[in-house]
Amino acid sequence: MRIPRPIAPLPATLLAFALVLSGSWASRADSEAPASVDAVPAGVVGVVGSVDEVLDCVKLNAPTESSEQLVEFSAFDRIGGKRVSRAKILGKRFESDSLRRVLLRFTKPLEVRGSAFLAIEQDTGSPDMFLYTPEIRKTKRVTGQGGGGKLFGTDFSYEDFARWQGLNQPGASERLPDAVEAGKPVWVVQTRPAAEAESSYDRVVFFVDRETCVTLKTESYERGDEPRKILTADPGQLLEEGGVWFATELLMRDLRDETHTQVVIEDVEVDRGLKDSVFSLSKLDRNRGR
Amino acid sequence: MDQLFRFVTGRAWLMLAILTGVTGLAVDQLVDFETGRFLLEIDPSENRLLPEGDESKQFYDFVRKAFGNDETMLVAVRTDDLFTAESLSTVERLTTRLGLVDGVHHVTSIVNAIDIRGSEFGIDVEPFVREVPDDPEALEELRQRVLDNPVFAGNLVSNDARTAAIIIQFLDFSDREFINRGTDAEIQAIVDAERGGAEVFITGGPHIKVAQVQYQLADWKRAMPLILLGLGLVLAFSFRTVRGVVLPLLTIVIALVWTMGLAAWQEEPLNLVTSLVPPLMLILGLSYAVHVVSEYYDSVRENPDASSAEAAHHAVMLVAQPLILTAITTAAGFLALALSPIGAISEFGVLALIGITASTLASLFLLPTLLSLLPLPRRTSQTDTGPLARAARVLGDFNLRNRTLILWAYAGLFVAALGAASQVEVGGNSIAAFPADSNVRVHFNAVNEYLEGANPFNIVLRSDKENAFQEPENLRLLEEFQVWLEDQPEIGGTTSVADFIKLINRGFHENRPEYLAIPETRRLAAQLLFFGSSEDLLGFLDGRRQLANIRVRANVMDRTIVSDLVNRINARMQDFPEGIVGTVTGNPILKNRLAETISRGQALSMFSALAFIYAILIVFFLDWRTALRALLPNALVVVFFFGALGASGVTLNLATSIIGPMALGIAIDDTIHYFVRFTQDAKRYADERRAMGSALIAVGRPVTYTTIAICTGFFMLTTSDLTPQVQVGALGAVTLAFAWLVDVTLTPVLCSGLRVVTLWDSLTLDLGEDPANTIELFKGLSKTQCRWVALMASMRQLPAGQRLMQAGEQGRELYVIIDGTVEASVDRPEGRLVLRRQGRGDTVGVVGIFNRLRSANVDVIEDARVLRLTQKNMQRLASRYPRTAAQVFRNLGEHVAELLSDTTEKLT
Repeated sequence: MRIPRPIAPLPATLLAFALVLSGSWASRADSEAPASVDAVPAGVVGVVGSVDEVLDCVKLNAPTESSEQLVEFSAFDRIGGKRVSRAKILGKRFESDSLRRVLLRFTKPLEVRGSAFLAIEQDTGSPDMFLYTPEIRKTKRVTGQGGGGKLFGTDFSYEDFARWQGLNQPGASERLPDAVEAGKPVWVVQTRPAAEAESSYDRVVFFVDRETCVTLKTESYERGDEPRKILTADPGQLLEEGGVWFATELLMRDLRDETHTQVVIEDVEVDRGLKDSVFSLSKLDRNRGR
Repeated sequence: MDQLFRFVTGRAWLMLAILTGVTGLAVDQLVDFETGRFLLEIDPSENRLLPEGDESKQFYDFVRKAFGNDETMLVAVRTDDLFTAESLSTVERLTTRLGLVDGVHHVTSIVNAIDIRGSEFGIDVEPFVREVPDDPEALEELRQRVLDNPVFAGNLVSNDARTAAIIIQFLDFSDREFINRGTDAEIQAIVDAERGGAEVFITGGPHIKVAQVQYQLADWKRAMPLILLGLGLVLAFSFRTVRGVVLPLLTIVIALVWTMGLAAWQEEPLNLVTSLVPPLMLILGLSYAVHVVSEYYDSVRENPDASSAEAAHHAVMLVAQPLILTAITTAAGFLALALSPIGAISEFGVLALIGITASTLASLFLLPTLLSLLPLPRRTSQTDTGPLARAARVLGDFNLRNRTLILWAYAGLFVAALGAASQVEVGGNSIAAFPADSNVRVHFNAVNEYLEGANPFNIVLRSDKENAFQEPENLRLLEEFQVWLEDQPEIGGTTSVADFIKLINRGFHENRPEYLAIPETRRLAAQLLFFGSSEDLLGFLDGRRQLANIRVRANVMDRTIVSDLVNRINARMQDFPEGIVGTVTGNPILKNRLAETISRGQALSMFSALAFIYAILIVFFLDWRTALRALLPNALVVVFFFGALGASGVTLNLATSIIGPMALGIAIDDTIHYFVRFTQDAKRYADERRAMGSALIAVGRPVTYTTIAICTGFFMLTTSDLTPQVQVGALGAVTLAFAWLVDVTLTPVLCSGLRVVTLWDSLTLDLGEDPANTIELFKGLSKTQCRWVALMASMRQLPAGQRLMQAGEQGRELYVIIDGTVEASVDRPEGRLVLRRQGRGDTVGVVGIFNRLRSANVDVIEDARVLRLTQKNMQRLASRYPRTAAQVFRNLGEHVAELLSDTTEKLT
């Protein structure tokens, strides 16, 4: 049975999903104590009724302040050709504006070593994004909606990346009938991006594990009933770190282009304290993690 | 066989019920009764025409997988000036709505193509037209930006800024699915609704293929009734009765329904070649039905007291064996096509074989059933044999008098045809298949003109090193190669990763024009690709950056010109540095490959057809030399066909490649008819020259009528809108008309001086009732063994009064009396002493077989038919059928013993 459609205005909604999915960090609308697995699922599982409760469950399963992780992207083209890139992903929620920033510093392939990408969440609309390329030695702001392509040669678009990293993506959500995903019972939430998000998707459907509040699958629909992309998390590779559950192996499939990207996350550290300056534009040219 | 046909004609209502049931099943497979939809589909795909193992096809499939489906549709919007609010709005509306069509992968036009622009503040990655501007300055600025973009100028907007291209890329589904989805019609409807005041042209592979199917279906609707009408007229002229027209037509239509029903049941769609099967089956099936009806009328005329069923039975019994034999020879032509390496032609061969089988079965079972059920005709068909017979007689005389002239004339024709055949070009131009004023052709030509090329293909450069195509030197190689390509007059434009990286470079350098260039360093190139990578780039560079795809827009379709271009490109690619190899691929290249395969396949098909038919002729004539004589005129027909092809300038293409083997299979039937009749008459008159003319008179009429019918049918195909169908119709009719001419002139000349025993003789050999018990030499043999012995011998007609043997002569043979009476006698001084009278079954002149002198005279008392058996015949029999020969020798021994005993008794 379809649950009536309570609309949840959502800066935080998608963010929360993405955070859990990526094993990254999350915003917390309030200053609650770090979510613990014991606390969240025990209190939520089985009693969730509204879409907000599902979103709260996801939101609480997130780092309080910051996260660091090593990520390896293995992008496969249509004929099975593999291209590997490796980056350190740093994330922090700034106390000053309660908005988050995500920084990627690439170490592989060698030709792009030192390149950096910074995404700064905005109150409304899509995040601001900046690139630093060592060969040009300039930081460039990237604007426009044309980034719907293949970010870093992977199957993530700028929008997918922002969603995965939990950056603000305005939209409205509703609960769909519960389901079973990869053998696990899940809550299903559908989000329709708001116009100001300039999303390339008509809707995005999340399948949230009822036990860990990790999003096990995200289906992104451009139009019609066939998803354009599906991001899945391997439920056998969930990791608990600092009381937060992370998916450490993910697979992003572009069904239209018949390409896919494997994402493997290692060395997850939560709430170790990252300086704000790490995320400043002026320091993008510095090849440092902290 | 007798019992079978007795059942068919005796239980006609039951047969009708069975055959109606079979036809019902076939119709059920062909039509969805709920929707009224025709279930047999046409798959116009050209890709699957090539053999699966073909290297070019495999590489094309690989490239298609690596870089995406290259089968795009192109909607060209033509206005006075594209950079006006109105024109751009039209393009925007079309782009948006076309992008929503089910099955569309994505749509690219100037309004949504991504423009990477740099500024001092950063990089703006946005579509060229986010919102359609309406102030002149913004429009002018947009014009400059678009025309300044090397990727999109010429591709998405014509260089004169009047035409916009909207490129529709589809999900990777088959052409068949594309048609079934109705995507083309949906796109057409959107274009009609949104075009505003602009001229809009639609073209591209999928659109052309849909048009091909539509034309094919329309063609069927028009050509089939016309063929039936033409055949009906020939039948009316030939039989001059209603049933003589209706029943053969009904028979061939039902045979066609069976054939197509079977194809639909197998869920095999028709392809570009098998779609020719329906009209051809109507044409070819008619001659079988005509033979049955013709024989039926003869039976009724000869036995006016017989019932309908009896007349039908008699007719079908007479025609069954020759009909099956001619069906086998026709089938041999199609069997040769079934061996073609090209899937479509092979499928045509198989389906045509099924069609021939269905036509034969319908003529042998359905037609006699219907004839049995109908009352006896009040009038039998009136055949106008007079003029035809006179003409045949004149022709026969002419042949007799001018044998040498005829042989020289055909020798000359052979040489001329061979010369013309050397001019045959292999080719095919899918757009040229449509009428010059058809929308599909007009639109194609318009797009070709306005956008400088509507025939895309790819050149794929491969390196053995990973990341090769982020090396500046290789990117520059691409750039230089593209410059060379664009200098070729047949090429309208090219796009490659080099264009993309130049644009990204410029964007990352504040849009300064000097950076519209290949990056200087490998690291910069890698970083630009890393951050500037887009979905569009998937079509030009693989993940490992070892493969670079150049998309080329050619403005030519003609196979020869494309082939010449490809040769030049290949020669240019020889200059590439070691480690980089270029390959040209794409639909135009596959078409060239297909043409080469057709050429090779044609040789194989012709050789196979000749071999099959020669083998059949050897079996039939039981002599390889006679078979060769029968094959010769038909081989000439094949040479004539290729000569006609070369002289007319028609290319050897998918459609025309079926004519040669098919014509051979059809033409040989008439030759066999003539040879059989000639042999019979030669034996009857013991005069080959006379038989030459009489056989022509006898077979001239049916051969001429069936040729007229078949040529009329082929001629009706020339009413088609599709050029290949017209070519098949015209060349088929001309070739078969020539085959007729050969059969009434050259074949008789070649037959003169020939004595042949045919399989037909063996099947029709009349040894009288129960030969094993009525002919002493055949005692203990089966009916078949009796025929083997008879075939080794020769049959002779002897008039009363003729002396068969003369006493004292050297004997070399014995005679078996099949019917009639002879008398053996010896001349004594006291007068003639009659030794004995002998009749059916008796053996005469046994000593002759042992090379002894004849001991008595033998005279024919009553007209007799005798079997002449020589010592050589006996040796041949012993080597081929030793067991039969042993029994014959045993019988001979008994006969000699009896003779000895009888003579001894007489002497004592």
